[in-house]
Amino acid sequence: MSNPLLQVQNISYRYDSYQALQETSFTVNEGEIVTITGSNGVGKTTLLKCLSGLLLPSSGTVLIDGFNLYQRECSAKRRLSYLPDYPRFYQELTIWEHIRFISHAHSVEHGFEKRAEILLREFDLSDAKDMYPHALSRGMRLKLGIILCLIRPFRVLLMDEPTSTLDPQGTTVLCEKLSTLSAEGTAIIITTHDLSLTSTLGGQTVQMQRGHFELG
Amino acid sequence: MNSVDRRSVLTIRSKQVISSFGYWLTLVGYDSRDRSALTYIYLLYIIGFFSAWILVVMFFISDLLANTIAPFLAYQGIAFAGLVPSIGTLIFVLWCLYLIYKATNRSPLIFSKEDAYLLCQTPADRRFITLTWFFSEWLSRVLFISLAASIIGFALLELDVNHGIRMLSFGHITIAALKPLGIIIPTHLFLCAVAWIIGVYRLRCESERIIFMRSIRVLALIMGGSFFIITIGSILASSFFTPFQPFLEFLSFPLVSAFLGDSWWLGLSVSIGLMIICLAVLWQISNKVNLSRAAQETHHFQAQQVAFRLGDFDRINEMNDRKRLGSSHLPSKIPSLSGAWMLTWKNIVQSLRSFKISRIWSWLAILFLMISMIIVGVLLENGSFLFPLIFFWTANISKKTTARFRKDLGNWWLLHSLPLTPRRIILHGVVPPVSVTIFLTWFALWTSNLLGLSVDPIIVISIPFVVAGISFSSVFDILRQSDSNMLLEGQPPDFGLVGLILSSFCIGIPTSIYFVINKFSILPLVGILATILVGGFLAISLLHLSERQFRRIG
Repeated sequence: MSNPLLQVQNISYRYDSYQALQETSFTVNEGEIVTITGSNGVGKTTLLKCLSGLLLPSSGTVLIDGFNLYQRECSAKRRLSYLPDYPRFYQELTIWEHIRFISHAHSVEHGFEKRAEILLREFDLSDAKDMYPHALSRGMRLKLGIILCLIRPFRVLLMDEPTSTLDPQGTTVLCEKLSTLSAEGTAIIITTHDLSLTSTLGGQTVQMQRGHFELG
Repeated sequence: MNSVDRRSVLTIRSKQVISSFGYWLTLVGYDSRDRSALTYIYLLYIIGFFSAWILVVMFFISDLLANTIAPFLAYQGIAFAGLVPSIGTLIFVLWCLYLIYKATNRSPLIFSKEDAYLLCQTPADRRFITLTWFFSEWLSRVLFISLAASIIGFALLELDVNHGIRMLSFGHITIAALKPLGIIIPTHLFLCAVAWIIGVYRLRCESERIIFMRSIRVLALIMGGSFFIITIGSILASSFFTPFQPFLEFLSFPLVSAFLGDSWWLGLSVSIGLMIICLAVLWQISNKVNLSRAAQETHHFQAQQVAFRLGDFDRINEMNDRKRLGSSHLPSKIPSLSGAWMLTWKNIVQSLRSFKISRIWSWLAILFLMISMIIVGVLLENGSFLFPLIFFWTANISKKTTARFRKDLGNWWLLHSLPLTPRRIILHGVVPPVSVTIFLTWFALWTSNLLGLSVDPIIVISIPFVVAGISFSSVFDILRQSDSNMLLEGQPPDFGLVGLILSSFCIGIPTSIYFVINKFSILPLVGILATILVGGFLAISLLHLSERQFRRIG
């Protein structure tokens, strides 16, 4: 039996009187990919924010590789990587310095330069590594966000519309990366409007409706 | 262009002007969305109150000019009435040259990003848009000039009362204001139009004509400098600058007519004539103005103006920092450690890259405020003066010690993803500025001691706890107001009243201990121990509260 990496128990979220996410429980095992689709405003981003700990849910708990995200946050965060829909960066740090900061803060020092060089080359950012984030296009900023997610160690990966502003080449590289990660045992949840991505990645696809999420 | 298009352009512009005007009304508590009779009455009251207030201030300044500045100048052998046109002309010419200088760099037509997409892409009449923007811009500028001209008019009238006119009537006052305004307003419009002609001409050209525009810039600088030297020189050493006198008289003719009444009708005709010619030229050349280029040059400036009106100084600083940082930088060579120390590494790199002289001033403000507090407290022994100083000192410390932490909260996604405890995140953000503040405060105490102002050891000992307490109070208040969605948008809140109240406890408790020790002649060592215990307890408690608040952000 596969090891459950992400266990969600009775999680729900309310924005004042609006029930943005209805109570749901599910488990994502190692190596599984879950793709969430659905119209704008159905609660995809809210769900991912709750799973990443950025939003405190109105009820329920989230376990990352057995660690409670709200009680043993450090242990949980060492195993979790999250990409928001509009990532923001430190304006005084360059791309390379962002990668250095995130990897060293996660205590990844040995071999980080080699891994970073590979990721930068794959996502076609090698020539821009000394640039500040504000000098990058939206697509390039998203690529930087993806690299920062992938450079650290993790067992659960959450990505909110990772291909929304990516070029076709970037999308292909990301799909390959996700497939490799899945084969290595990472649990992955992605939200997207790109239906071709769901077929490329395989795994389970869930159509979210009005805050209602149910994993089969 | 049909009348519907013109009406649309006018509607857009009038809404922009009204919204910027509405900003000032909001400051005095007027809500433009409230259509009740009471609000209209309040609006009338505001208009009446500020009209009377402005008039009083104008009379006060004119009285100061007529009865203090004019006699002082007369004592130096300079006639006030003769000085007004010379200085007025100098200000007008320098201001016009400055506008020209700016117009060679940046479009005088200022558009927002929304204008760039909606208005500048339409085939609307460029002439009509240019003149609409020109007049709305000019109106906001002419108000100040009109007030200044009226004040000088009043001052000259008052001098006449002293020397000629026996009694002032309403008619005298009205004429004293209107006579200069009759010439000043068209002259001001003419000078504005000159600068706009250059700006619009640049936007009209197919190529940028860089050399031509640079030449104008250099010419403006040379003319400004020369005119300044000649005017000031002719006032202070007129005999030396006699050859330039006809030239100065020619340039200052409109203002001599405006203020001294010599050939007033001729002055009026000249200024109106120049105004009409320049407006006609502006109308003529604006038919092919490139609005998209104007928007490209000015949307950043417009965004800064809006941020300023909203009081969003973080946004203005961010925009300025981005401009100064440029697009790239070689990687930092500062060595780094792993784990939480990377936050300190990041803070050092950020501080070095965003270093500005003005940021040193805010640190020095803390130092000077501390020295002022010691002087007021020890020398004057005046509590009523001490309180405002303590308030500013506290607010300054709160601002400076939490600035980096607030910036980090603005990158909530990255900060939150770090596998670090809230305590470590807070401490790495706050400890370096707190240490600098403690060092500065001790330095101020040491300086005061050198100046012979003795400071009690209890105060010296309590400083680290007080500064840490103030800082953690502000951190707690910032975190208390923080909301995950707001932080993800990059908008961390600032400390508020709760932070200041908690800070006042951190200052008040060691101060109380100091007074108790003094009053009951208790051993100073007991006071020092009590200060350490209470101050330490307060600072640790506030840090603990901040940690809890950090975990609750959601």
